[in-house]
Formats: sequence, C-alpha cells, structure tokens
Amino acid sequence: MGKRKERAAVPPSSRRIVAVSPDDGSAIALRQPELAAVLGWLLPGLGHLYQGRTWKGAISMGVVTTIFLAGLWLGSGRVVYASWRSDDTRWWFVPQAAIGAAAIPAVVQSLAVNGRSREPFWLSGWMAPPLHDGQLVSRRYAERLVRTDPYLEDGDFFDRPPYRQFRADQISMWHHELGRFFELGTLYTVVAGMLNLLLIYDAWAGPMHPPKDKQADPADDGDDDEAVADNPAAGP
Amino acid sequence: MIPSVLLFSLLLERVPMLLFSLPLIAAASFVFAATHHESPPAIWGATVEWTIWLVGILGVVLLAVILFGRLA
Repeated sequence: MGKRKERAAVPPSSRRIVAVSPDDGSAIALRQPELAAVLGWLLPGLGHLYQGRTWKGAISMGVVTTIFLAGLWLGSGRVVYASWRSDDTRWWFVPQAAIGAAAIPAVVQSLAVNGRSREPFWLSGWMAPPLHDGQLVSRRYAERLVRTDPYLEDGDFFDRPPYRQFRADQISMWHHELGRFFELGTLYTVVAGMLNLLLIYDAWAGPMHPPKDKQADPADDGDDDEAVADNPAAGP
Repeated sequence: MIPSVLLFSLLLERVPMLLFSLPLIAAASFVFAATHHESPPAIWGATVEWTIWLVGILGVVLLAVILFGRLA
C-alpha cells in the first residue's frame, strides 16, 4: 500500500514504464508505450526499435513485412483495397489495415475514385478498388485502363460526358485472371496485419508470458513488484 | 531427370494450400514466440515449439477434412 502511495507522488513525466522479461526477469524499458504502439502500427517492428528492442524489432519487421509483400505479389497488387459498397464490402481490409502505412494508399485511392475527380490519386491504379457496373470514371483513367489492362477494351465504357461509365464487373475479371492467387494474396496480407496486431500489443505492454518466478510460485500473494505494477497492461 | 520447375509446378498443382501455408505457419510461430519471450534464444526455441503445435493442429484438421471428404 505504501509503495503505491510513493509511486503516485512521482510525476508522470519522470515515471519509467517497464515490463519484466519472462526469460531472465530483467526489466524491459517500454519508454512511452502508446507512442511505441502507434509506431508499431505505422511500420511493423518500429515500436520495438524505438524502445531499443532492436533484435526483436528488426526480425519482426522483416517477417511481417515479407509476408505482406508476398501477399501483394501473389495477388498482383490487387488484393489490398478499400471498398464499402453494399455489393462489394471489403471486410478483409480491416485486418489488412493493421499493417499500417503500407495500407494507407488503399484508403487514398478509394476516396479519390469515389470523389469528384472519379479517378485514383495514383493513376496506375495501385490499391484502387475494382470498378463496378455503372461506375463513372474520368476519361483519362478509362483510357489508361484500356491501354494497360488486357481484360478491358474501349467497348467496356459508355460515353457519359464529362465521364465514362463502366459497364462490366472488374472484380470478376480479377478473379478470373488471378484464380486462387487472389485468395492466397488476400490471406497473406490479412495474416500479416493480424500478426502485426500482436506485435503492437507486445510493444505496448511487453511479453505476454508471466515471469518465471510467477510460474514457479503458485502461492504468490499477488503483491506485484514495481516493474509489473507499472506495466500499462497490468490494470488497476 | 525431371526438371525442377516441372516438379515444383506439380507440387503446386497437387497441394497448393499446403505449400503456401508453410511461410504463414513459420511467420505466425515466430510472432507468437516473440510476443511471449524477450531473449533471442528463448524466442527461437519457442518458435520451434509453436511450429510443431501449429503443424500438428492444422495437420489433424486437414486429415479430418480429407477423411470426412472421402466418407461423404
């Protein structure tokens, strides 16, 4: 009880937030856990690097980013897109968005395609949602699609000045073109995002495993030491 | 001598999900281990343990699916 009163008297700015390593009981400085979590969302492993947990951060960054990029490659860059239409609600984008900065272009592209310009911000169409039947697009974007996508031809667009109206279903074309790789690419990018959620938690709260002395002593009276009590995940 | 590309293609055609699940299992095992341990040797050890668990669980599920598929 006395210990807790002493801790409360310390100004928040000078508090040192640590977790306990379950392997050797050493303290892990979490620095500012909330900032570490945000950095970890922005780029997998960056939160750990900020905390000085270099080895874990670097390997995590490599593993999760590789899986995400492999998914993008398997799906020819088309499996990560944001779409909230009633007939094509892309719920997979929710876990994909946990990968952070790498998924932000999908949001930008979706807003731009559905905005006044009727064309994606990056005209290459990278991470842009698929066109649906009746969708209006800019002339420039329609011409580019006809030129670069072998599945599309000029007859797939009606003239609706100043726009052109798509009259096919691009998501079906993508499925036909990619086959099982569309699903595989989606699976890889979704798993990468979900694994990054675990890493974000680790950056925020430290390892989930209880310290060794806790495992060995079931009769522990629950009087946490300083480090555990300061863990943001330890609760009140 | 069978060209390795052909062999790879055959494997891909026969067991595509099996092949493609291996990197995911490896990555998931590492992340599960990394979120439960801090020191590199402990993380590697736990990665191997998690891999065995995941392969075992998913293998049993796969066997059950194949078995019920044959019975149906």
